[in-house]
Amino acid sequence: MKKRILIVSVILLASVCLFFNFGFAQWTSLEENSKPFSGVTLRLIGESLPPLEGLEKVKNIFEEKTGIKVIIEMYGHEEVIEKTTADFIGNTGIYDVVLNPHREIGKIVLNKWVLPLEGFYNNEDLRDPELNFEGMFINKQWFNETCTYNDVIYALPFHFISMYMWYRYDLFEHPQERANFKEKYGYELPSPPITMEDYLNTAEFFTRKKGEELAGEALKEDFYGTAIQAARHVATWYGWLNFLYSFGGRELLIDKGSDYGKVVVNSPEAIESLEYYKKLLQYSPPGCLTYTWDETQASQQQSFVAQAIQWDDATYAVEDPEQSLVAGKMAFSGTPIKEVKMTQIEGWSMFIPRSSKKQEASWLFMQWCMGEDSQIAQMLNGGESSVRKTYDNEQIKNIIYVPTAFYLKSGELLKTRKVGDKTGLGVPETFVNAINPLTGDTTVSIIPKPTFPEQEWVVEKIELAVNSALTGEKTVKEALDWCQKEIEKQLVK
Amino acid sequence: MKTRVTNWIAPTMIILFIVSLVPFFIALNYSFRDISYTSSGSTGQWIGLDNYREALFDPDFLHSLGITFKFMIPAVLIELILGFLGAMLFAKSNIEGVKKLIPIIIIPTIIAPVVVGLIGNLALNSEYGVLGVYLHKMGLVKTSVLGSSLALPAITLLDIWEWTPFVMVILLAGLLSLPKDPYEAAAVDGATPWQTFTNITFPMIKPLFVIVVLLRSIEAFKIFDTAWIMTRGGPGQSTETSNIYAYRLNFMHWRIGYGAAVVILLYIVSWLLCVVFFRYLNREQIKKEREVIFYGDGGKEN
Repeated sequence: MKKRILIVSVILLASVCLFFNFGFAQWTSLEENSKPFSGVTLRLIGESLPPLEGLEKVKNIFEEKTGIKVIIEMYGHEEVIEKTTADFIGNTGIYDVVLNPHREIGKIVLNKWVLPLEGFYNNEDLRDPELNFEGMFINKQWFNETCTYNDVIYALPFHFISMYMWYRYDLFEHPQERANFKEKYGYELPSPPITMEDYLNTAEFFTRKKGEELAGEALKEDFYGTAIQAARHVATWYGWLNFLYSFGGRELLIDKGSDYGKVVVNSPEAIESLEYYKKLLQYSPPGCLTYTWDETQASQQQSFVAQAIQWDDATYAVEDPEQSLVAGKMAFSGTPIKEVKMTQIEGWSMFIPRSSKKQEASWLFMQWCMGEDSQIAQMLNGGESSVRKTYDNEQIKNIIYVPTAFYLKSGELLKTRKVGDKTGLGVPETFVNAINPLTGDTTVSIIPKPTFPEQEWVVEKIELAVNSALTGEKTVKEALDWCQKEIEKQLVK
Repeated sequence: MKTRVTNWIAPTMIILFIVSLVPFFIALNYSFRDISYTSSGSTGQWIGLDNYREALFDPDFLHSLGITFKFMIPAVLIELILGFLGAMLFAKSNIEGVKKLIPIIIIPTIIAPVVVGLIGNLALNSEYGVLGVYLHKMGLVKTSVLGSSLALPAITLLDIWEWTPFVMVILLAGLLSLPKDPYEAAAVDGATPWQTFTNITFPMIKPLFVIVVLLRSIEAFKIFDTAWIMTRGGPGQSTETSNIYAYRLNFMHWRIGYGAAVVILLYIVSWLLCVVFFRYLNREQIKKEREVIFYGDGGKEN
């Protein structure tokens, strides 16, 4: 009888312990805690860009530690969205970790396609104590916008990215060019352009024909002051947003992406910004109306453009001497200022699909991705880490574009750059000191974009309106008035 | 014997049913429902003909149909004219080795439409394209071909380049298989080449001609890959064919219910095209048979 009572007691105690995770639920190491998942294969999908290529290079560290195999699939921006949405709708469970641009979060969450991460984060058996959301990221607002929806965490940030100005400091700081500019415009050539007026003037100034002189040499091909994204493509929406936000306009009046604010896409600020964007066409390569990010980047790599607003996670390609003629000649600054000194929030986030049958293993991999091995590897390959600690690494601090990209998101200065410095490293001092007309101080305003499910066609309508205005199919006002009506019509539905 | 034949056909029919009819019926079902993955208010409920009603009054859909026909009619027409002229030239040519050129001429048709689109993109690029640079330098194009009102003509020309060889080869096969007797008789009667063409060649090849028109029209109506790769429907909506529009609705807006209704309507248009052509073909066939019956035995109807 006593023996029976003892056995029952032991079983009961063990059950209670198991239920409350007493005694067993402790993180010891990745190697130990991942043992139950050894032999599992995870399939991840994301955008084919240097940061993900960086992860591909170091994923073997995770594989060796855990015995979990990781297959990474890389596709173009829109292809990733299409493939993953189709996977979600079909509930196929092909992918175990899904990377999507953060604007997709509303659609993904409200259709109940992904899991909230709270369960994993609070499970001590699965959570490495090193992973602590408090104070971990370079910007809390950025994290909230890219990884949470209605205050619930659904993702971990693969990276925080934004658009900023790439400019040829070798041209902007050439003595002859500076003298010529002063003679023509009556003020010093700004390196970099700080205001929208500066940007337009410098774009005009550097636009030259074949045979004319540039920085002391005769041009073998036409040269352009800038290159804008103008194709009927999501890139055009992203590209114009920099100008829209800087001019003080918005597409919808929102404080966070999940808000359904008033539609203001045809406001006077929006019209002014699109008129301005259109003016830049005349100083851009002739093929610009079919340009997305790729063509803009190529035009800079081939050295026929002086400046452009581009993604920070693509900078690596323009600084790589093997694929760029302008490596070592570039410096980086914020988007020129009109009414707001700003940067737009963007990032790709890592989600665990509900349909995945390996959710715990997926979490372990995502968690490992937030660690030092992965973050540094991504940065060295051109990534934009969201983790604050990464930027303490000296090697990372000295990547030519990192100080500017980091400053725009965090407000912290790793290094400043003065006109005449021998390299492009550092945030231009003039930009750091520039006043933000919105706040009256020098801080950078962080602007969120819509993330509610309907954003998909809000983006599409804006993309079409901007393209129609740029190609002359409609006037700027007609295009934005049409866009306003279309978005209002759909959102009211 | 009948059972045996049925047994042989059955697997093919089952596969056809699964890969063709099942998705069609699923799409048909969706087209009567309010299914959208990008709308918080979407319930998936049955809404009857609402999606169809919306599509029939949707200016974007109607515009895309207009663009499709604007592309399809000149493309098919020019392909037929050039293809037929090419076929005649090859059929009449006595030069040794000319017919050996056919495998080379047909290369554009063999290339995948996506690749054709990429070739078009590269060739027309204003900065480094073989054609684009010169068109820009000569001042014929102010910006870029694919970013201007020339985008649709450019896609049409590329389609002509791609499909004329196909039309030519089919018609050439028809021309080469025509019987010699009527030509010999015409020569004896002293017919001119034009009379021979209008009274012998063309009537005899007409059924094949109609089939080529049908095949090309359906194919041109379905255009997607090449146009998508080249312009994605832009600039503005100037090259947004109905399939591009349907693709955007279904795979970019994820408005599956409405998108399915648009696809079904496109299917109906394609089907109507087929019906018109087949009716014409049948009418010709019946007419021909009647002529045989009428004149075949001395003009006495059986």
